[in-house]
Amino acid sequence: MAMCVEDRISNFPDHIRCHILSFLPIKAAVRTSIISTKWRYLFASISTIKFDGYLMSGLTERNLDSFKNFVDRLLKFPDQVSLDCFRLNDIISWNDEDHNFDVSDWICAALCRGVKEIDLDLENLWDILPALLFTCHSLVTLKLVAVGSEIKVPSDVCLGHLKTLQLRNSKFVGDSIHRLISNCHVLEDLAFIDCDFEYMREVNIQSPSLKRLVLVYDLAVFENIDYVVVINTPNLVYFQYTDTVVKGYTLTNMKSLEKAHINIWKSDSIDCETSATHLIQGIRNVRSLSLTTDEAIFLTSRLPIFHNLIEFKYDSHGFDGIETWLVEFLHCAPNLETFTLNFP
Amino acid sequence: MESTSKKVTLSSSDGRTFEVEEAVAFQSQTIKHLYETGYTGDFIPVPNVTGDILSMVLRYCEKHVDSDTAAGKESFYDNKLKRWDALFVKVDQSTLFDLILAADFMNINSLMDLTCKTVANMMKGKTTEEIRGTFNIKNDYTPEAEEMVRRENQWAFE
Repeated sequence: MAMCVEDRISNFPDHIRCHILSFLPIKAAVRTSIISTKWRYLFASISTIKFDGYLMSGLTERNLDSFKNFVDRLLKFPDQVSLDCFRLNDIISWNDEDHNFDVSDWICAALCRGVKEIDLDLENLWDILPALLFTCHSLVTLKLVAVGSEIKVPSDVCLGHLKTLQLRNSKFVGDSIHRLISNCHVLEDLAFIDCDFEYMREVNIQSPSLKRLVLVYDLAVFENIDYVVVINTPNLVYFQYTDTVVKGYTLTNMKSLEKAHINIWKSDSIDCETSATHLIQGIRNVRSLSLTTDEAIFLTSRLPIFHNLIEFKYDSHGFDGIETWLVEFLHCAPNLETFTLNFP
Repeated sequence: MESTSKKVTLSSSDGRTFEVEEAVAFQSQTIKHLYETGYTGDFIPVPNVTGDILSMVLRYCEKHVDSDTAAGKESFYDNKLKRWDALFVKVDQSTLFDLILAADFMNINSLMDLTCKTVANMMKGKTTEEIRGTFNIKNDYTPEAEEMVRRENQWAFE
């Protein structure tokens, strides 16, 4: 790469250089303060703040106060800049005997600065999440990994600008999912990844604004499947579903569906085939379908006609010679143009 | 894209003109805003951006025009686009800086992210002295002043 003879970068406007620093680990961003006097205070105006376990565990005892001081200055004495992103990842030791960070206080400070994206991956997350998070009007993206926590959504939840919601390894109870989603009026992207619905009777997703929905559960552990999935999303374009077939499916209104990825396993329940057939009936308007199943899982006599289906890809978890149902399936796709069959 | 879509003409600082589809030009929030507020001229002047850089920027916008749709975010397409992006920013430092200034002026968020991230990657894992070398930055601190700045955020320098 050719070298510049002049120093152009130091004369870039502050907002451009801050944007560059936002792609650096926070420690490296702070270290730019000694490059030259033009870089001294730049890091204090960064709009993306990310802390991870690697950074935290690298702090020595004598540096802890220096670090806490830095975070307080960074979060609580802001200039006019609003925050784009606040992220805490893999921080396993935020409140052990050596470290005692007031993470809840940090999150509040970020919310007060009008943060647009919050991304948290913490143990016992739910104990420290401030109630303020659920009524924050600036939030556009919220990503939570809450291992070991039960998600309790307060009754006054309202996330008026939230477009992307991603929940991973979280446990839900009661009607918290329904309450959360029906109070996000512009939500477009929703993902539940490896979430535990064990104590729910119904996973209820109703959203006129939703365009992309991902429901993935592929942990190889026992789970209770005694619940019903109810989805009503008239503007959904993309649907990804990976799970053991559960007790029931009520999928209505998927009129705009373009693409679906369905990956299902048989369960021991007597009505597994009926239930799986309800699932596939719900996505009959899809244009492109990628399907993975472990064996004949649908009631072929009750398959719908897939009028819009032009692209179909089938993967089996293991061919066992009873894939004749596929022929029946292809009969139900009169406009199919591309069919891809993958042998394991 | 439907083939009947409207075309617009952009003109660079050195007087070269480029005709592109409206959707391509509207990746630039600056241009989109110009039209939304009633601009009716024959061509859009893009001062500060040379023809060479503008043609690169438009090539980027053409490639990204479909990626914002919900179905376009599907992962296979995304990976292909990421590889294309990675090749797009394999340019010399001076061109990269010109692209940043163009992306900032034309207000194209994804191009701004791509180019700034590329510069950040050039800083990653380097000592302060190496960063100064890479970008030809002169250290104008006295040793005492530099030490003072270090002490202000001691945690980051160990």
